[in-house]
Amino acid sequence: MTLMNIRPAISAPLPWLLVLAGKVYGKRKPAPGKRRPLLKLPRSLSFTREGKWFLGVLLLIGISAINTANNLLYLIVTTLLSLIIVSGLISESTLRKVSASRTFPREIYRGSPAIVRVAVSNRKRFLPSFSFKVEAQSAEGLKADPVYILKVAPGDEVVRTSMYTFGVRGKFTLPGVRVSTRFPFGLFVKGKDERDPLEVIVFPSLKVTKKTTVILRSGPSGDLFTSVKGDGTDIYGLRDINEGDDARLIHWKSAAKASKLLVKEFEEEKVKKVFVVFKNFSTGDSEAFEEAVDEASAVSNAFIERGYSVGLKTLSVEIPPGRGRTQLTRILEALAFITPADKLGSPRVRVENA
Amino acid sequence: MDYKEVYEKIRALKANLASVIKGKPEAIDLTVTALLARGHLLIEDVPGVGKTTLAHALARSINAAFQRIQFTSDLLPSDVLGVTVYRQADHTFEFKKGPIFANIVLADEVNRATPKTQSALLEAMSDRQVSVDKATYALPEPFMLLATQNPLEYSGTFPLPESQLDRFTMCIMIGYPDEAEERKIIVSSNSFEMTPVVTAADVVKMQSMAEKVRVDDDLVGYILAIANATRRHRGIRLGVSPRATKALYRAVQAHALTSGRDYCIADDIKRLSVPAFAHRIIPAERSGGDGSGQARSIIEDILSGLSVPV
Amino acid sequence: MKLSSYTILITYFIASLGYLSVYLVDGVGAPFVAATGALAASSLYFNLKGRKVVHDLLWNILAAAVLAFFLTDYFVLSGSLITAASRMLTLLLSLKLFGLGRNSDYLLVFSLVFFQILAAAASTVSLFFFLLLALFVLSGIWAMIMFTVRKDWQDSSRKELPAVEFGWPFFISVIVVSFVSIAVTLLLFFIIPRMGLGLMDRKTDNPLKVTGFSDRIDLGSIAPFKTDSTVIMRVEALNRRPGLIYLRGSAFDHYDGVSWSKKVKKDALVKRSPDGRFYLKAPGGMESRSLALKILLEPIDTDYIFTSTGAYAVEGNFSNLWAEASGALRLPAPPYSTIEYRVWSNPAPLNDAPASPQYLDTSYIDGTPEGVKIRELAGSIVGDEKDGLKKARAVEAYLRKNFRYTLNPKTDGKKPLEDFLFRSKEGFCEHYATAMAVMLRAAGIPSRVVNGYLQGQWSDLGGYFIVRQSDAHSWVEANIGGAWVTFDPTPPSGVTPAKPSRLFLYLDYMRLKWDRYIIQFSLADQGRLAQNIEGRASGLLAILKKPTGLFRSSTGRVVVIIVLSAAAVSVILSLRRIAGAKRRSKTPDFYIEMTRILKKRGIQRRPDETPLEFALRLNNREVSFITGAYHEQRYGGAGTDKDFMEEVKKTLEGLKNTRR
Repeated sequence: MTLMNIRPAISAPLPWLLVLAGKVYGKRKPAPGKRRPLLKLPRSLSFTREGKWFLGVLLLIGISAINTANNLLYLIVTTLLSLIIVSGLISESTLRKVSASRTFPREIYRGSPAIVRVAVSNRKRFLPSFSFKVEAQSAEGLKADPVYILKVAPGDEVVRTSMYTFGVRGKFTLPGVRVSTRFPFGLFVKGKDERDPLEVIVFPSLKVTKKTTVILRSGPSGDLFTSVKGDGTDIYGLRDINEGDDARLIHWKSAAKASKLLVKEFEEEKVKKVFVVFKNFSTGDSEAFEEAVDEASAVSNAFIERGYSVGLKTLSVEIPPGRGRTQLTRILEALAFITPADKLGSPRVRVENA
Repeated sequence: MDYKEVYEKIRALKANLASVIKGKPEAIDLTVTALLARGHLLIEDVPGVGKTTLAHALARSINAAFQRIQFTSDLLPSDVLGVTVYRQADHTFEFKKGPIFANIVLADEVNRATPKTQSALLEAMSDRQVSVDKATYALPEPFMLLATQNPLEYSGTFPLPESQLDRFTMCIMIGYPDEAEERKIIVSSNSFEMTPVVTAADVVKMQSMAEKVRVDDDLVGYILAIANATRRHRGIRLGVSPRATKALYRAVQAHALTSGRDYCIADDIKRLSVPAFAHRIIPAERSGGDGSGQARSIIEDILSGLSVPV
Repeated sequence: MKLSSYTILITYFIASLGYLSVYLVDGVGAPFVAATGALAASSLYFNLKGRKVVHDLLWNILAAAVLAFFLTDYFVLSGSLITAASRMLTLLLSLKLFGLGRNSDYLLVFSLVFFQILAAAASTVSLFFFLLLALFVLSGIWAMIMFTVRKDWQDSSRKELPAVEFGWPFFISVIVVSFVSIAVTLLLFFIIPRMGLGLMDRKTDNPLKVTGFSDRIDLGSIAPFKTDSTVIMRVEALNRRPGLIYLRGSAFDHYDGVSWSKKVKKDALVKRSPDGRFYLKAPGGMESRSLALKILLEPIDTDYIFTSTGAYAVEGNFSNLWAEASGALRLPAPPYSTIEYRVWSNPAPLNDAPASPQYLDTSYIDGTPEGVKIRELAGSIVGDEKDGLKKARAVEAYLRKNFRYTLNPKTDGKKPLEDFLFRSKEGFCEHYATAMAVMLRAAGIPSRVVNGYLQGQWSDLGGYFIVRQSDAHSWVEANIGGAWVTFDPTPPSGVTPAKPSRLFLYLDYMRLKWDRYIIQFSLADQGRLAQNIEGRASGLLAILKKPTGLFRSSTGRVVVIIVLSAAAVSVILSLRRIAGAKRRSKTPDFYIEMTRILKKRGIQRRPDETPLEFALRLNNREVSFITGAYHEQRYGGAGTDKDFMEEVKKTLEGLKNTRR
């Protein structure tokens, strides 16, 4: 074997073979479904595309080294192996003693991204951590952007923000964070799961939909969008300027037309009280129910924003009218936890005068 | 001015205030601390316990310009900051300074005004200046805003937004006087005559001196530990901001000075963390009613769980 | 420095490693490497300007062209796959350097260089390869980290990474990581099991040309090699004996006036004995005094292997051996790769089989007119001496004394021996040896000429001899009383060889170790390594059982040193930790003392209590005073004066004594 073997071993045109290997192995992406491992290891490890190539090359050279007993090929094989070992050591040192704590905003709405403050600290005494990602452990109904961190010095803390989008309302339990890195060589993705159970309350969505607009237009004060522009700032009319008038009140367009200074006069502010009535009938269609919850929230929000005193009436809860964001929070909290009542029917929302 | 001198002046100031606000040394102490920390004070209490009197007495004691603004729902920003008015005579515009241009400003029942008016105070509080129509006007030195708000009246009020609450160095309560003190209050004459004991210029000097008060690294660590604890505490939805820790740091320095020391001790921090932090955190669950009382007890809970550096 | 400058710097560095490795590949040729290298260097101009000349489409066309060239090269030009593949890789690399842009372009450059190094690994045995590999590991780690971080950064922010992170600290850590990596590489290299048979498969296409070992040797043919310093072999004496070592190659018995040749052709096949050695003859009961050599022979173009005089056993990785009647040993085929073998030989001549009559063949002397003169000369030197040994010594001494050593003797090559003896009286080893052998035969002593090497230069670094082409030598063996005795009639050349430089010795030592432990490393070596470790371990166990012997053995001493230094390091570390803890605590001693006194009485400060709160709680005069003093010193920076400390001390005493 000895004389002849060296040539066939290398002679399988190595580069082209590797291109082929890379095509076969490299492109396959892991299935997105969650697989629960039987034994929970402290670290997870997967190959990147480059890592699969690397491994393929390593195997091929390994085979030819064995085949030819060429010690220099063995040397290259062991070099590649040592890179894997060194990579493991460095990535471990990157992940070790790195932890993240998250702070959520006060108000989180279903379907709209919430800005989460992620503080990542490195509790190692001497070694910095480089180039890693912190992301939320996957949970049903949660879409979270990973946070990338280039460097955390030993004993230091770095704060980044991330967008979390929740797909369901109510109490949401976040299992924890996952810290992962491709550092140093980009061959493997090593990750560790950090349990940090957090509970947040997700309010229903406040997005104004067509249906919300219809509800608002059919409300007690007529079309909310055309006639009510804001809290007591509607222009009532114009008058001549007097000594001591605020210059900001001058209506320059009219002044130019009339060639004399005119000031704006505003509508008197009056507090209007409404009830948002949400008939939370039970229905087979959970999506329709969620839509109705969102509508109730959006309507409440629209009224609060326009300075109304708003109350909530549902089949199970009733909140007396109030103003301001605190009242809105109260209403949204109630709506976040609302469940279908025992009565069957189609859930709907309307507005009535208090 | 050395520390002894400063301390004498502060003692005189406190005594002067105590002659008017009877039986409330703590409130006086914190008020003076806020003044020396170049801070602003939020006084949250029921009506009639002497909030206005305290502000007024402070202004008189330091011989400074005093203005009182009664906040109502129809108060406009221009009513606070001032307006540019048109002068018919020479067809020019002139800025008329509002009541905010004073050394001590009392914003009475600040939560009655609309958020728009409240936010007009923001720039004045943090930058000590007022911008109207692209022109900027500096506020006088020293400048301190004392705002009062009434916790019980819920309807018809606009609670201060967090950004604004964060700009108050401390939030204090005066509380009811005890029976003996109240007896004195009843029988004493209503009018009070006060003589100034320090000048406004003295106050500015004392403020810059307070900034030089020594704070040990371990004590800074203690401040940070408290702040971090508020950010991690289960009962808190939003912890304190770095602005808050900075404010506490300044307040602690000023408090050391009012106690006659040129260095801080752990007690300064422990003492001030409730008034400096309680109004800035948002408790996770509002068990209705007294939100601020709940916040105070959370901070106290945090303090009891942290070990003090020795 | 900008990040793009870093990437270009590292890319060109790695590319240059690729060109150097291709240079190591047999048959590629320096002109090719120089031309493609120059092409690559010209690409630097475009890259510094940030221009991509070879775009994707052009690249594909060029790559196809290079592939076509590869096929032509393989089937028509070179016929060697590794050579053709190396050329292809080098061309691709040169072209790709004109098309750098995306991360994948750089990755391709690095991969091409990797395969070039792989090709070199398959073709070379040079020590230089290790340097290239080490540099590739270093720069590869550098590049991989940089590109990984850069990609991560780009993925997350879509901006260019600031280069700040890749300054000197980064470079130093890369060097540290590389050293760790190379150390791990070598460790793995030695422990990874060699599953192949480990035979010498490293064939070289151009073995060293040596002379003196063909069937027929013209007199004077060694001369050109005497100035060649190429290393032929390295010889390690496993047990050093006094005296020069002569490394025998082949021996000749017939001289025809211009050349030596072999007439005795009784080659015997030597089979490997069960213990793995080839026994040439009986050791003669002198094993304990025998000379043992370990020889590492470079690839040469002859099938002779070299042994010391009187060799009786050889051990090596050969299938079988041919032993000639003269004692010369031949492999079945020229090795064409470095081989290692061991030789055992007797220090003193032994009685061998009776010499074949061919060794007394004087047909040349008898057939020429000048033969009479040679006989006369021999007769006059020997005189009426009867003892064979004394006769031989006389001839040897005569030649050593009366002739001048030169590598350029005056001779027309037709009668070199007569020119040497009677006319120019100058020559080199071949002439001396020939003269002696011929004269011994004239005097009736069977003799032969042996071609081989002298022991060469001693390297004290590795404890071995470096044998070069210039150490090629001819000498005489004469059969005296049934035993073959070595005679060397050549006088010293008078030219002392230049002392090798220290650097050369180091390099040669490294080359030897490289050949021995990397290129030649085999399953057998692993077995020996394992046995060695096992032996050490069991020795250690024995020592541990008998602690008194700990200092007597070297292993024991090493262990004791390791244990002691580990203990010292841990003590130092823990001391530093304690000291560090003390330094961190800035609490004045008197306050700690007070805490201690109070603790004895069961009074303790709660952790969340400030010292002042604690003092207020206790409401004790001494405690309040000490707390005040504590505040002043701890935070106020005051109170280091004597009176103050005295006061504090007194109060502390008071506290100790009260309330007992």
